[in-house]
Amino acid sequence: MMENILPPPFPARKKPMSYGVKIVLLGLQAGVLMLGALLIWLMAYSRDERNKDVADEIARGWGGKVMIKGPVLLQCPDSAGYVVPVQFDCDAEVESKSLHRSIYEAEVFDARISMSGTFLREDVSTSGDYLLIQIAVETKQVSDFSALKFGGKIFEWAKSDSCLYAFVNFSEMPDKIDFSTGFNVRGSSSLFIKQIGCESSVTIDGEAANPSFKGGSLPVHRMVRDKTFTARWESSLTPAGITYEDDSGAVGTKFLVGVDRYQKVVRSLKYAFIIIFLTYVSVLFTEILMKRNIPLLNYFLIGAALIMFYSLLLAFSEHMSFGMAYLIGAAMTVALISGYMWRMLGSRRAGIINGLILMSLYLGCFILLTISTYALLLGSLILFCAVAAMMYGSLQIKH
Amino acid sequence: MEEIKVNYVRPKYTLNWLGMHTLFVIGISMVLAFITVGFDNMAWSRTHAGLLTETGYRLVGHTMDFSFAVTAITLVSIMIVELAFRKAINYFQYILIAVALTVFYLLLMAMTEKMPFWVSYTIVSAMTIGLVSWFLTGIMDNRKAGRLGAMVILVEYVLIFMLIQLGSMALLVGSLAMFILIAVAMYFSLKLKMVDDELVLKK
Repeated sequence: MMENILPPPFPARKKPMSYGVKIVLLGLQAGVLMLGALLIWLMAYSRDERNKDVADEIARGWGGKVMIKGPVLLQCPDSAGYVVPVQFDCDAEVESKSLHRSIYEAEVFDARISMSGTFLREDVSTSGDYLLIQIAVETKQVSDFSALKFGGKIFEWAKSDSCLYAFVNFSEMPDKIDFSTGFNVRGSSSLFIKQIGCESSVTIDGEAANPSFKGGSLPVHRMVRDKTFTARWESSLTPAGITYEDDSGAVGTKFLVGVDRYQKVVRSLKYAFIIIFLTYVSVLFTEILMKRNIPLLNYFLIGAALIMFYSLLLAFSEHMSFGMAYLIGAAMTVALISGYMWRMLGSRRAGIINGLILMSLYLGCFILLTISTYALLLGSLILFCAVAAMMYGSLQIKH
Repeated sequence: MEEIKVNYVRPKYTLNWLGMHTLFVIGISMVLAFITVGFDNMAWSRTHAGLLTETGYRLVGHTMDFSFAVTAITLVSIMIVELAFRKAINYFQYILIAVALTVFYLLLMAMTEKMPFWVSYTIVSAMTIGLVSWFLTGIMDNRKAGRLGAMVILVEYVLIFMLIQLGSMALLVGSLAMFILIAVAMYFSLKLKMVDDELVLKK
């Protein structure tokens, strides 16, 4: 009996994965890659904390928070009561600078304080000739003080630990005693000036990143532009309402001590998912249009390179400005991925087009990071354009 | 009619093989990373007992932080060596190599108690690299495979030694190294081709 014995057929070539399955798996992959983004976020967070600690330490060495109270006249020798000026004007000109220690950086300031005002002779009830005038301020923060002009005469300041003081001869003073003086103070984190007079006006201006105005009252006039700021406070009180000892009624400005590069990295991490998503979409379209099969492994490597961008950004931003770090990191990532696409598909055009798409994604994210007010509007416009581009791409696919 | 004999060999190096081996490598690296955490505790208690200095503990602990990465990267590159030389390495041999890479930390800890860190690091690295490359040469019957494996581990150990000494520059160097690693992985992914349902590393 003859029987046809056929060789067992070669197993059929596996069909390429359907796009539906592929899209689901790519979504899962993007989720796994976001774990990497989470890891980088944690790293940025812990480095931020460490940087804050070191910045505080550096700032303490320079001079800590500044609180200026005074001047007041103390009625010696019993010094039970004090006399506050009826008129008090204080002007502080802040100049901020950054101190470096290896990769750590602290923002500190140097401020020129000039104050003037008027005491009334009738407020003073002492019988002696000499009075003590003093300004409470940490004297190790103070330098370059100019002499005190008091009622047309000049007196020299003396220093104790917590105040500047001078003995003034009170015998030949007019009814209204004008005074003026000035000094330099160095500190960090905050500068507060107490509104010590019945009529007070305090002005703080200068340059600093992100000043915030604090205190018992809001400034009557404020202006923040780029890096310069001005704020003016005014108050009018009765002498009974003014206390010299405590800090109530002090107004001033708080400054950031640490650097904000870690916040910038964290903010840019928020766009990680959208960048991965849009890159995957563009690679998928390339695959469909060129009728080639790109394995999931290659997608994963592209995604890993996109996540590594944030690690590079974090690392570079510690050694240079954020914009520079972003530029270098993005250039490296775009070059790697577009080169990969070129070699993978054997088409320089595909590599260049994907590189351009990725570059515009990074550019868009950078613009979103630098403008804050229009970020939502611009972000939604970019998304709209991305959807339109996807629609256009899908129209090119012919079945 | 004569019977037709067909020797149909099932392809071994399929995408399935790649996926299963990758999962296996990640699994074994995780297990050994947990064991390294145990070593770290041991080093801590020995520091308390005064056998290990504080600096020694810090350096050994930093080295152990990289345990997962070292095991995973080494085993994946051995997978690529296997693909290139087309000689099967079984799971048990993979495990043995991974264990050798973990014993490295135990030896390092023991040696650091007796001598300066860099001396013990050099000796223990040389021992581990020698052992693994000898083993690979034996499995593959090929000196070149052994040399390739040795080179991968050498680069890893040198990089880690640099990273733990660098301090504030460590993140930068580490990120750049990761970037290069991804580029190398991309390079190999392009060389990987399917020929008759089998993965082949194109020359």
